[in-house]
Amino acid sequence: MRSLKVCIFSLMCIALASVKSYAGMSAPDIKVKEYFFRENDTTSYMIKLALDESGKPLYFFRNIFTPVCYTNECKPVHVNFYWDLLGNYTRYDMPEGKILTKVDHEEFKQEDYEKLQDILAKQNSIFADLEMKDLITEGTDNLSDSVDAKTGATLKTIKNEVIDGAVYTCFTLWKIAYGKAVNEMKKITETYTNDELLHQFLISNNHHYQYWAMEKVIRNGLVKKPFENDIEKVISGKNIFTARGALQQTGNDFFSDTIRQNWLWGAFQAASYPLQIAILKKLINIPLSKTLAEKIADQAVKSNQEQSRLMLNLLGEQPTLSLQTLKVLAAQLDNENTDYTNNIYSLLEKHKPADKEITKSMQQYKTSNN
Amino acid sequence: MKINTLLLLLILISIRLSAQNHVFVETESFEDKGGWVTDQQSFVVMGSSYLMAHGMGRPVKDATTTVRFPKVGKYHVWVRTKDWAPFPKGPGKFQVSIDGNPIKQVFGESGSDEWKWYDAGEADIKSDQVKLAMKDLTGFNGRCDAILFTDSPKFTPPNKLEELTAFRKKLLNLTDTPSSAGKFDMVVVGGGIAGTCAAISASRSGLKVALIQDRPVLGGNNSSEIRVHLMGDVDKNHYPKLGRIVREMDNGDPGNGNPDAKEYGDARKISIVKGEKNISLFLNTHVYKVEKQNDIITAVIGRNIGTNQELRFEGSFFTDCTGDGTLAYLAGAEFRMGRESKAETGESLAAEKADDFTLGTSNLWASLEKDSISSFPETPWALQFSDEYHIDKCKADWEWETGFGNFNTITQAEQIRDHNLRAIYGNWSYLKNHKKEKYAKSELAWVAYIGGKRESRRIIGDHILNQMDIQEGKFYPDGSVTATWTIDLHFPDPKNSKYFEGQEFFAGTKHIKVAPYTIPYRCLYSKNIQNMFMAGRNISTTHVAFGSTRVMRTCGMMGEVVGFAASLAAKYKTTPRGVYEHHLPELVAVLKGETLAPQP
Repeated sequence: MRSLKVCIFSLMCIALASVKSYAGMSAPDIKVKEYFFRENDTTSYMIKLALDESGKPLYFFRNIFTPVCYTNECKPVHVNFYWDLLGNYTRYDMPEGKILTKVDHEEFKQEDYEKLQDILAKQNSIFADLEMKDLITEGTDNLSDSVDAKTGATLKTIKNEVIDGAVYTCFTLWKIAYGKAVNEMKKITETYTNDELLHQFLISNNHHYQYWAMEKVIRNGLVKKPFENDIEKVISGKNIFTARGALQQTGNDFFSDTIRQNWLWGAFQAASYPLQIAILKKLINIPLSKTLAEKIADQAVKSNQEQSRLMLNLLGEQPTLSLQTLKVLAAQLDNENTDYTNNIYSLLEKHKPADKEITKSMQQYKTSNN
Repeated sequence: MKINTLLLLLILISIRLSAQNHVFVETESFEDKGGWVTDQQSFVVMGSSYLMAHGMGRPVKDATTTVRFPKVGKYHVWVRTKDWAPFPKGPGKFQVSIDGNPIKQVFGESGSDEWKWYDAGEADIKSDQVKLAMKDLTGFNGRCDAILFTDSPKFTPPNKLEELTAFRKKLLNLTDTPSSAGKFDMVVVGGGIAGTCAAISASRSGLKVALIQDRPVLGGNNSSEIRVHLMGDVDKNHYPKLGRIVREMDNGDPGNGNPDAKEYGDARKISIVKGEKNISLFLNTHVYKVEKQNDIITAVIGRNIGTNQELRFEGSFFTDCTGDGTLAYLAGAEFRMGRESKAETGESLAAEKADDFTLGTSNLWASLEKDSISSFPETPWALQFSDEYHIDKCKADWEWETGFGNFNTITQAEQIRDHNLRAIYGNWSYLKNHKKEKYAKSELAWVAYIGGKRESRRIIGDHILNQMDIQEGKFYPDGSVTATWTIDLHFPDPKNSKYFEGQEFFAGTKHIKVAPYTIPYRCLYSKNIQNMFMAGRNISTTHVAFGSTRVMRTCGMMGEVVGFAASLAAKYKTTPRGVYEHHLPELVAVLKGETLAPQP
C-alpha cells in the first residue's frame, strides 16, 4: 500500500541505507531512504529522508549539484539542503571540499555564507514572484534597472536581499529550497502518518508540524480522544499563534466539562493578555460550570476594563448563577470603580437573587448611588 | 419663595467657588523637562499638549518645575494621565513628588486608556514656592497632561472636553484677544517640506511671510523626529525652475529611519529659513482657531505647545501645509477623507465602495550594535510574537505602519502611535530575549514618538487630480509641478493581517509606474475659501492620485508654486483663483523663469 502511494506521487523509493556520514551528518544511527523524483522532463533527482534507528522519519535533505549559468559560462554548485518533514527549508551546508563562488570566481566570504542562509530562510523573498529575466540584466549578474518596478521594492531593499556578485546563485538556490520537491516531501510524510507521529508533531516546537497535525486530529471541532492532552498543551504552550489556532479550531464541547474548564482557568491565568481575551471570547457560547462562574465572578473586579466587561458579559449569558457566584458578585459592589460596580449591579438585578444578604448589599448600593 | 431660596443657594455656591484656590500646572510648561518630551499630536482631541517619558525602556531624567502657591496649607492634588497600554496593565508608570517627597500613588498603570484626572490625595504645602517633579519609573512612555492643586477638598476637575477646555482656558488666563504676531502677506501653517518651501518661495517673491510649525523643528516627515527620506524626482520637471528650493532642503538620502538624527539636517533647514529676511518663523506653535469674514480667512490663532501662550496671525493669504488639512477644516473648506468609489471617479484603482480607508502612520525605529551584551525587558503589555511570527529586522523601514481605516489619522493619532510602539517594543523584546545569538549586543538607538502620517484630509480645489490625469499624462494649461512617483497605495501586509487581524502594523504596496506628469495649479487652492492655498499631501486629489503626489520632493515643489502664485495674487490684489482665471500666462512665465519683456 505504501509503495502504491509513493508511485502515485511519481516518486520511486530507491534505497534504504544506514550511513555513517551523510550530507554532513555524523550520527551513526541515522538511516536514509531515497526517493526518486522527476520534476519535469529534464530535471530529476533524489529526495532523501533521514530516519532514526527505529524507522521514524526525522527530516529531508538533498545533495544538490546544479549548474548556475551566466551568458556563456556555467559553474557547478554543490550544496546540501535540509527540510523538515513538511518540506519547510531549515538550513544548508557545504559538502567537504566544496565552496561557493561569485561571478568573478572569488570565493564566498564567511558573511556571504551567513547571508545566504538568511536569504534561503526567507519564504516571502522577492524571488517568489520573479523569473531570472526580471531580476538581472541578461548576460550579467547585475540587478536589472527595472527590478524595482517588478517587485515593488526599492533597489536598495533588493540589494539587501541578494549577495552582490551572486544574484544568480541566490536565485537558483532559493527556487530549489521552495521548489516542487516541497510538495513531494509532504506526500512522503503522509505515508508515515500514525498516532505516534501526530503526538510527536503536536508537542513539538515546530508550528508547521502543530498546524498540520491539528488539522488531522480536530475534525469539525471534535478533538480525537487520544490527542486531547496534546491539544491542551498547544493551548497552554508558548506560541500564542498556535495556542489561539487550537482554541479557535476546537469545538465548544471540548470545554464543556468541569475538569476541562478548571484546566482552562489555569491556562487563562498563565496566558498572555491577547490569549486571555481569546479564551474569554471562546467561552461566550459555552455553559459555565459553577466553579468557573464563581472564579470569573471573583476575577471580574481584579481585571482591567476590557476583561471585566467580557467576564461580566459571560456571566450575563448564563441562564442561572449559583448562590455562591451571586454572593461573590454582591460582595464586590463596594469596589471604588463605578464602571465595574454598575455592571455588577445590573447583572445581579437580572438574576433577581432572593438571598437576603445579597438583596441588602444591592439595596445599600442603590441608596448610596442615588 | 422657592426662586429666592434657589438664588441664595447659587450665590452661596459662587462665593464658595470664587473662594477656591486652584493651582494648575500644564506639564508641557515645566521649566526643566529632563528626559520627558512634549507631545502635541493629540491637541485636536485633548485641547492640550502633554509630557511623555519616551526612554525606549530606560527611565528618563525627572521633569521639574517650580510652582507658586497663593497661600500655604493643605491642597488636594489631581493628576491627569492615562494607562496607554492597559493589556492588562501598561508600563508607563511614574510618580509625582513635591519638594522631594513622592506621592505614594504610582500613575499610568490604572488599566484604563482614557485620559482622566486621578485623585492623588492631599499635600501639605508649606511654602509659597515648591519644586514639583515627575519621576519616570520605566522609560516606557508614561505620560501626564496636567497637575492640579486645589484647596477645595470636594472639587473634582472636569473630564469632558468642552468643560475641561473652558477650565484650562480660565486657569491659563487665556483670553479671546491674544497678542498679535503681526500682519503678513502670507501665513503658512505647517512647516514640513511643503510649508517650508512655500514660505521660502513666497518670501523670495517679496511677500512678508509667517511660517508656523507645531514642532521645534522644520521638515515634518523629513525631520529627525520622523526620518522619512525625500522621494519624487526634481530632474524631470516640465518647468526646470521648480525644485530649486527643494534641493536646498535636501540633506542627502540617509534612507528611512537612519539612527543618526543629524543626517536629516534639522539645523540646516532652520538656518535656511532664518536667513530669509521676509520670513518670521514661529516654531512650537499649534494653530487651532481661525477667524473668518464670510469665506475669507482673516486670522489664525496659534498656541505655543510649551508655554501655552497664544498668538494671533493676520494675513492676506493663508496656506494649509498642515498635512491634516487643519486650517481647511477650521475654516470650513470642502475636504475629503478616505477612498472614493470606482463609480464616483471612474478610476480603475479606486475602491468598489467609498470608505474611510487611509494609508497609515509610521513610527520608524533603529537599533545599533554595541560592544557589550544588553537586556530588554519582557513586554506583556505589547503585541506578542513568537518564533512563528516576528519581524527579524534591526531597524524599521516604511512598512512599519498602522492605521488602514481602522483608526482615524487625526482624532486617533495617539492610539495609532501607541499601537506602533506596542508593535516595536513587543517585537524588539522578542528579538532580544529569544534571538540572542543575533541581537544580544543590539540596542534600540531611536524610536520615533512623533507619528509620520501619510494620508489625512484632502482639500477640494477647482480641480481634483485623478488616476486618469496621471496615467494619461494630461497636460492642462495650468500644469505646474511635475510628479514622478508611482501610484503607491499601501495596504496591510497579508501575513501581518493573518496574525494581527484588525491590528495590523506592517504594510505592503504595489507600485504602479507612471510617466512624469504635471499637477494643475487648480489643485493648489481651495474651492470655497477664497484666500487659501494648499501644498503637500493635503492638496486636491482623489485617494488614488494622492498615492503618487504625496512624496516630499513633489510636495515641496507644490509649495514653491504656491509662493509664486501668492506673489501674483498680492500684486494684482486678487484671489488664488483669480491668478488662474486672469494671470495664468504670467504664472507660467514665472514657472518658466522668463524675464519680463522690456518695460516702458
